[in-house]
Amino acid sequence: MTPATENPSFEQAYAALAQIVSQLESGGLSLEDSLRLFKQGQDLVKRCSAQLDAAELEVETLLNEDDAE
Amino acid sequence: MNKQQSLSVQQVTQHIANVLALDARLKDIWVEGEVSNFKRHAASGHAYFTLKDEKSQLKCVMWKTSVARLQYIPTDGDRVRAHGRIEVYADAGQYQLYADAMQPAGVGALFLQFERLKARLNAEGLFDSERKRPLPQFPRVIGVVTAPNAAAFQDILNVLRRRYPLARVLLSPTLVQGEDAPPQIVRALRRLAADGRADVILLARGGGSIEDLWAFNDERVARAVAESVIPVVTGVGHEIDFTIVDFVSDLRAPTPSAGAELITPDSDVLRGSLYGLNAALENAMLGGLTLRRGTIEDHARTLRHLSPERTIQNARQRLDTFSARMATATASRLKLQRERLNAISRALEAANPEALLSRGYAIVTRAGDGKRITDANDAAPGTGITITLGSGELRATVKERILP
Repeated sequence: MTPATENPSFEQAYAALAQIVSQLESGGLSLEDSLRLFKQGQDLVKRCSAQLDAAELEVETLLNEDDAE
Repeated sequence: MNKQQSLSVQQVTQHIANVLALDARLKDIWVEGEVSNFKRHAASGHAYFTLKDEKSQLKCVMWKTSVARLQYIPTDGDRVRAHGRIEVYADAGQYQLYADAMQPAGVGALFLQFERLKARLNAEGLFDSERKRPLPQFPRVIGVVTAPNAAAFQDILNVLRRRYPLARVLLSPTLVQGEDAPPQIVRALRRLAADGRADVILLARGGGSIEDLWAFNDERVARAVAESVIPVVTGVGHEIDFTIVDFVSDLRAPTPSAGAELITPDSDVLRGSLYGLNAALENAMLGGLTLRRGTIEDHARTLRHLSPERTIQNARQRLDTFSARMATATASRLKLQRERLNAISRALEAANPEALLSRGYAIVTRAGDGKRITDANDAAPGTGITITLGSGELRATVKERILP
């Protein structure tokens, strides 16, 4: 589990969250690691929710180089 | 009447050719009819066929350069519209249509063309389900190939805003209708491939007549979709409309809006699953803690089990057992000894001379030296003797002795 980058995409954050949950569920971690992962997981939940709430669809048009002819 | 000068066959033929050449209409003409005897000459590449209807037939030829441009290769029985000029072919003495273009005629023919292209691409394996690629679960950049001013594009944007505003839309604009649409669609797809950012493409057009949607039955468009390195979802027309690109694409959506839905997760559902993941996270953490507590209790139990207190208790118990056994053994031995002692003492009792005396026996001793007299020879008459009885003694003198 690599440390979360500064600004992970929703996809990355969501995947990391799912991975943390399955790691915690499979057990076998030290108490310290469990607590650390748990906290990371909660941060990711917050981050994902915030991204969903704040997102606004961006639209860009690919310029048609043929039109310039 | 036979004096009139006769003409050679060539002259007549040339004359007819000249007459026909004067008619402007015959130089630029569309002819509709049923194709028969269609043959492509293998060596030259030219095509020869006959157009016919119920009453007439027209020989036709198409040079290979025109044949190469045909989007549609007819087979016998097809109704077609062929364009060209009528000229005389002197060698055979016949006029014929030198065709330079040909299309299927009527809606039935469109359908036929559709079916034929579909069968051909299917035979090439372009519709195979193994070719269908999975779509990204969370698309970051969505390439949209459609007409920018069309309602379909606004529908798509509305769906994306509602469902998954995290995505970025990359519009690659194109005409979606008319003769120029197919090459434009192909270029629009290639622009997205060249840009490289899109991880899924939505190729869309709103509803319309079968002719309106025809660009999506174009072989060039179908091949461009098949060759796209980015997965393509098609949303063309309405639910009932199937176009060739629908078969080639990685996923066919019934409408443009449905296409937008199919390529995106629903953010409401995502929120739900985030709640779910959060709950799973807490459960897993709590579960881990409970498990640990249980383990600790197990250890405590084991520890209690292994405590020396227990060993000491066990030893003490063993000791108690031994001492009890020892006491029992000692007691029984004492009892045995006592019984033996009693027996001896009874025997001793039986042998006690005093007991004999009490039963009437007497002990006689010589008065002089106290020697016990057991033989009459030891006491001559006149000897003083002591007779010890069970109770008390008698002093006497031997009066007479009787020897045995």
